[in-house]
Amino acid sequence: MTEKTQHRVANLTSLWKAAFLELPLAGAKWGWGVGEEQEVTEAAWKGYDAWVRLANTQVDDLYRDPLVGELAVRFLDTSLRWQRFGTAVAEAFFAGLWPTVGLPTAAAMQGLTEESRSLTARLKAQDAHMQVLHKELSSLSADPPVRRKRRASGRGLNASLKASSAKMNGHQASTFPTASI
Amino acid sequence: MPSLFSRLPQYWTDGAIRYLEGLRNGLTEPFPLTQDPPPVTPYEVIYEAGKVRLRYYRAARASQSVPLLIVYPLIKRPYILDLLPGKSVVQNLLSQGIEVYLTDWIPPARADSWRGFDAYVNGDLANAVRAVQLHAGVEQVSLLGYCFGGLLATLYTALHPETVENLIALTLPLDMSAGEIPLFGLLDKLRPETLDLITATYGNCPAWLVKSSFTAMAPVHHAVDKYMGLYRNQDKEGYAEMFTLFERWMNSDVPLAGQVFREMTRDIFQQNLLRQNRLRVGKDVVDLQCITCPVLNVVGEYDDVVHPQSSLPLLECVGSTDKANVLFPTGHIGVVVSAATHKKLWPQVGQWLRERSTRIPERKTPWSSNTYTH
Repeated sequence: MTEKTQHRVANLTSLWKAAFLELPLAGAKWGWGVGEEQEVTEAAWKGYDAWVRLANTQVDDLYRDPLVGELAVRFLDTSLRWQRFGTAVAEAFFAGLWPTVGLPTAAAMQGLTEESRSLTARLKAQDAHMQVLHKELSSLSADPPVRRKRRASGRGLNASLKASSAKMNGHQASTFPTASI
Repeated sequence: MPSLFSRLPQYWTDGAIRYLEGLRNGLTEPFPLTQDPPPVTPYEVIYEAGKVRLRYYRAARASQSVPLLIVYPLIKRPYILDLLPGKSVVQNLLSQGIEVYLTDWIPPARADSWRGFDAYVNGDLANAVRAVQLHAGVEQVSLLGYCFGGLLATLYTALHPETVENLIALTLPLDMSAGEIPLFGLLDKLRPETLDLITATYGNCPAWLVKSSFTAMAPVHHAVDKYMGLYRNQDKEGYAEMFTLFERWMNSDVPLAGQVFREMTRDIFQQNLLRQNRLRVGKDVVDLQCITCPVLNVVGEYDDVVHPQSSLPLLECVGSTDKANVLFPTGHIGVVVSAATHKKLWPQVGQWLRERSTRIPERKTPWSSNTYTH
């Protein structure tokens, strides 16, 4: 008997024992006033745990079945094809409709969003660059030689890293060490 | 105490709300990062470009080791590593005097569907390492990669070994021939046309598909058992709070960039190319023998997402002489959130790291055996 079969038999036995022996017995004892409610609860949970283990094994077996795999992939394939078809039909139909009622198309909106994102990124980069320049300027007035040496070693650093803005938990801050490197 | 049957409808309704909220976030473009819960540990974002935002967490006391860059997976949001006080990997490492950096991947938009391993490893991750080098003033950094992040960290170390001092892989999906996770059998059946159809329809692998795959791994747990667990443990202090936060994270799925999804499914899951040293990333073929730095491979003994048999072969593949496996009795997510790992595993990881750090003059003490079990 393989290890998996042994586990399955053990779980099945455990479920059977809990459902048909321990739970009725604990229930009867409690009903007659010689047992405690706790015993009934424990027997019920024991049966439940065995059922969960058994159900998980069944699900795993299902996934291992080549037919199930084949069916799942076919279902995914078909639904994706229908979705693409539906999207194409809707786009072809509404593409002409939106402009007539004065509304922009999805493509136009996407274009505008991309443009706005790119402008925001450029603005951020410029802002970061300004901050770096500002820090450089203010540090030039009182600059100990040690710090100057450290900065000289950092001149070959990647420009994009130097221009990165500093943030604290997602908010702008001014602690990025570019000026002091 | 209210009965189970009066509680279950409430649990299911709450679960459905969390699921739908997660679904909505996954469909929103750009992904609403503001939906993350407030961070437990304060951090600074020291670098942001491409699809990575680099967080810096300052150590509680003077740093005794080279900085550690945690490479988070491209799946879900990273707050699982800093979930609650006492259940935070970040806090645990900081308290041991280790400076922590974390990659907070920006979820890809449709326009990012071209991003594959090359863009993430040779682009964003390489830039993040460079940013750590500059910020900390060091030539090498230690890398810790969790799950898919472990894969990225391993690929990076093999391709850029000169910049990595130590590599820690946490539940690394490396050898897919193990076949111990039944659901991966379904991934094997995905035809190239199906992969193309997914990316042609959505651009990326949509968040809901990623989520469905995780749910399908343990349907009984997600439908019934986790709520039974909540009912049985409702009197335990902090359990309900932890459950809610954990469930929120479970529903924080993000899309996976189209190209990386294709490469992951075809090259790693179906053809197992990384294990055979045949995976191509950009212009280079990844040879794991190029990894010569100290390697610590942390494996969850009861991991049902990445089976131990899939992670353990790492030590056979790398060229390092100082290498060890740690087999800890926990699951895939327990490895970062369970009380036992925070008490035993993470202090051990911190010690391993400190002993192999060039900043402190301590003698490196190679571990006597290759595998440590608890």
